[in-house]
Amino acid sequence: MIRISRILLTLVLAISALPVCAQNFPTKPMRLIVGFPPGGGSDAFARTLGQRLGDQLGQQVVVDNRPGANGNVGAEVAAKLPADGHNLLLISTSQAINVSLYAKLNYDLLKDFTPVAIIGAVPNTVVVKADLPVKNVKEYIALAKTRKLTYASSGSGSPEHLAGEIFSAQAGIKMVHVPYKGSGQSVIDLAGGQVDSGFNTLPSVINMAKQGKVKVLAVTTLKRSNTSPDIPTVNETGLPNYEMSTWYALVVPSATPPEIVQKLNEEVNKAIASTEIKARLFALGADAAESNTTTKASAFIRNEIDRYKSVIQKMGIKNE
Amino acid sequence: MSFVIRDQKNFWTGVLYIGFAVAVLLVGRGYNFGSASRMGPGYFPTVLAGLLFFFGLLALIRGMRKEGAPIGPIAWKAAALVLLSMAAFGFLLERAGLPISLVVLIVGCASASDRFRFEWKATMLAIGLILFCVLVFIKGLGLPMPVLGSWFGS
Amino acid sequence: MEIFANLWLGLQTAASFSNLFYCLIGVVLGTAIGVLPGLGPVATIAMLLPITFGLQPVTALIMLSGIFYGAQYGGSTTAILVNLPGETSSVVTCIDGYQLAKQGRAGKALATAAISSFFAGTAVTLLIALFSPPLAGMALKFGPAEYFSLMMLGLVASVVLARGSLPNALGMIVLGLLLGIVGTDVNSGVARFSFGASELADGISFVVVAMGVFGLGEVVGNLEQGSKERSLLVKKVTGLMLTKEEFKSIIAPMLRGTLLGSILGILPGGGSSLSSFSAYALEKKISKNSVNFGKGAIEGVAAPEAANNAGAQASFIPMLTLGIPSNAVMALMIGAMMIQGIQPGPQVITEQPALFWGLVASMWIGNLLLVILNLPLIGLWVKMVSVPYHLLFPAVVVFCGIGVFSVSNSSFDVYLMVVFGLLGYIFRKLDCEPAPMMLSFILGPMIEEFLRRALLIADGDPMVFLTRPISASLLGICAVVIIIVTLPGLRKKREEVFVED
Repeated sequence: MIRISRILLTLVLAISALPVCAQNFPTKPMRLIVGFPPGGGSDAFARTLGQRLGDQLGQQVVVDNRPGANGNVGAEVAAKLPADGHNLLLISTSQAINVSLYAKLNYDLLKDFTPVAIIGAVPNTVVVKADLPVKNVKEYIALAKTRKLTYASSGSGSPEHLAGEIFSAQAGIKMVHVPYKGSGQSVIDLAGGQVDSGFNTLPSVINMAKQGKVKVLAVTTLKRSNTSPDIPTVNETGLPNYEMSTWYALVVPSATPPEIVQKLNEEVNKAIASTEIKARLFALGADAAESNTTTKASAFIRNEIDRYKSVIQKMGIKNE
Repeated sequence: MSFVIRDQKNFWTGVLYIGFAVAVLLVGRGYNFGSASRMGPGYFPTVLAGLLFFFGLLALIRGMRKEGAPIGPIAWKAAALVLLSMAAFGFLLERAGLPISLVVLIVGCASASDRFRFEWKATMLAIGLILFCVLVFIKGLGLPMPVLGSWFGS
Repeated sequence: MEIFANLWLGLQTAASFSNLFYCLIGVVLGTAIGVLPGLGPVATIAMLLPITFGLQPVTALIMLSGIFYGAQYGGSTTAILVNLPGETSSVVTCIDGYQLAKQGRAGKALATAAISSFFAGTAVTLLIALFSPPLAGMALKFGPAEYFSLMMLGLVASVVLARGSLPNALGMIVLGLLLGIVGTDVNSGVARFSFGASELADGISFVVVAMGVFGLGEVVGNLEQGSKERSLLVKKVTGLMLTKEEFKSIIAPMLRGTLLGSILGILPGGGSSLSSFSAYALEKKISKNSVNFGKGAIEGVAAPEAANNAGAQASFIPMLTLGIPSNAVMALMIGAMMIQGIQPGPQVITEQPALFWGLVASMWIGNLLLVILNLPLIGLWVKMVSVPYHLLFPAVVVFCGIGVFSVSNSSFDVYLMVVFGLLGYIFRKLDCEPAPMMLSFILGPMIEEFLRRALLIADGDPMVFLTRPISASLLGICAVVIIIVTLPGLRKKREEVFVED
């Protein structure tokens, strides 16, 4: 009896000591950390992707919201989790901004995580109140040069705030930034005419725009959005090469075995290529990313971090 | 004026308010104050701490002037047991898992009652409660809490 | 009468078998998460959203909204029975509801809550059906200046909530305002009083403070009394249903609560968080029974419960007619509609009449289901609290713990609750009322945010609060309330209310 149990024990230990190989991965339910509360854009992305990944991999993907500090809390938690491929983190433009925005962070986005893939992006928009006498980006810039315009964003240091600052810098104008807590109230104040203009995600303003309560002048992506192809881009209407979208990407703790990262990359690419996910993201006002390798995702994120760093340094904003 | 506490409740309320106000002023002194039309992040906290200090002083003075009811005995043991077992629950939840942390919490806080003793009925109720929590919160609602935590390798 | 044709169409839609079934699931689930403190409708709806993709749009919305108003309903149960306010709206229900429960009148308190909620739900369903489009316009009239003045009025009203000495109550209000400041400053991005902890960067969660101060503080306070007092906690239960006199006495508070709640609920910038507080404050001032407020007045349960439910349901008005989300739940509902391919906005009424009127009718059906479900449950709940306290309180503590953890899945919040538990016990010992502190804790950050935003937009000109008519009249009401509270002639009467007990 003792011998059998000892053999069993050795076997169990041997199996558990084996490196997790990509063939039988995943071995248990997976956890997808989201740094924002339920109900937001990140959460919607995570739940859409998580469900599909779970179906593809035959294991449940549990979405674990760890909101706080512009997504920093979630990243801090995820950085400390076992790197066996069962722990994933959804990041967005916010975390790439945070690298330069915060004086001190308890994690290192580049060192603590390995990118798996870019999932998709939500375009931002340049939007103005209904009775502001401008019809396009050019007239908007011209008006901003003659009088002080206010613009709303969903918070100090948010992607929308940076979109506004990059826009102002490139256009050579000065506007008053009015920060809000999230996009909800800022859109209401735009529709009520309390602020002159705003930088908001496309899905947050599209309803109001269709009712004529606000005017969407342009989207901030380089190419027009699939969801609203009739709205021009800033790029084509006045400020060449202007781009500032809110993207979402999947990352894992950096010690995760490369073959598992590879496997996850393939699965994510399969998911975002599916018509089901494309349709879901489309309904959310987002565009699914094109198939991308881990190297490409990694380069993209690095490039974004550098871009924001220079903007933030020029603007002199700092969160503590 | 001699230093006599006549109304304990008012006196200690004053101490509490003044303590809070001073702490806010100390921690918040680094925040930019700004001006009334362009308020900085330090404007509100400083003004409010000043107000709290004033109300604290008022309570303190009344506590030394007017007679009042005493505070009465303080349940140190009950407070310590309930609060510490809750802290232990917070510490253990992700490390040991929900059932084990619940055992610690339930036994810990139940022992704060002076009617705490081993009895079958209470034990069964506790087990039932733990089962209910695991089934409803983890299985049913899918909250991200582990049954077995990180100490058990999951 | 077009309206009746519309409502008839709605009833036909809502009364189909599958819609009734999902409505039932929604309200049952909503009640359950409402009863369990800490768990909110937002997280539940977010988790269930993917499941609804396979349903008909109207069915999905019926179920999701059932969860929302079911949760408003369930929240009062825990507040009354064990003094645990799981949501902002239940704080004032605790005040008189828990006193009633202690006197063995828990059944009556629960029945009052159920009846008031049903009444308010019915009234607001009619309101939505009749006046949705014109009312929605009101939502856009409120800018930062108006919200600031409205919140100031709420803050002034919070003084009325207080008992005991006035300066100490004002101190508690200031303390609540200070607690609300913890977290990232909206205007500058500076994290204030967060001590470097990322967990504090978004401020302290309401649930953490409420569970600590009310839940744990109450448990420790009860344990201190020793076993003799505790067995008296729940006296013999006297009657589950309301007597004719009691029923009569809650009609007026119910009406006033519904009216106040509906008005505040239409305002998308946090108006509904004021609804139950202001209804209670108003009732305490004008009720014939105002002496008993805080000691177990049934009117003190009826008014805030009606206001709360009215406010919750009225927040559907800006969502359905303008596509404006007044809270996180409405934002999720808009998301659910868009995933189903429906653009929220005024055209929904004309383009999708079955959906719009079906949803409206389902709200009334859902409220009816809630009453049918909850009235028989009252007996069961009351039995639950007659369990000896030494067996009951560990369960209360467990739900506090799990509830607080689940707010943001964070142990940090549990530790923070322990601190507030200690603070809550100290407040009890010093006779400091926590309810006004809770209100100012909720209002504080909004007041600062709206004030600074209004000044930012107005280029630093404080006259903006007086030149805008709605803002000016709200501030005018504020001034009147302050004068009433401080006038020498009236002070004597107030002293009675304040210093008594």
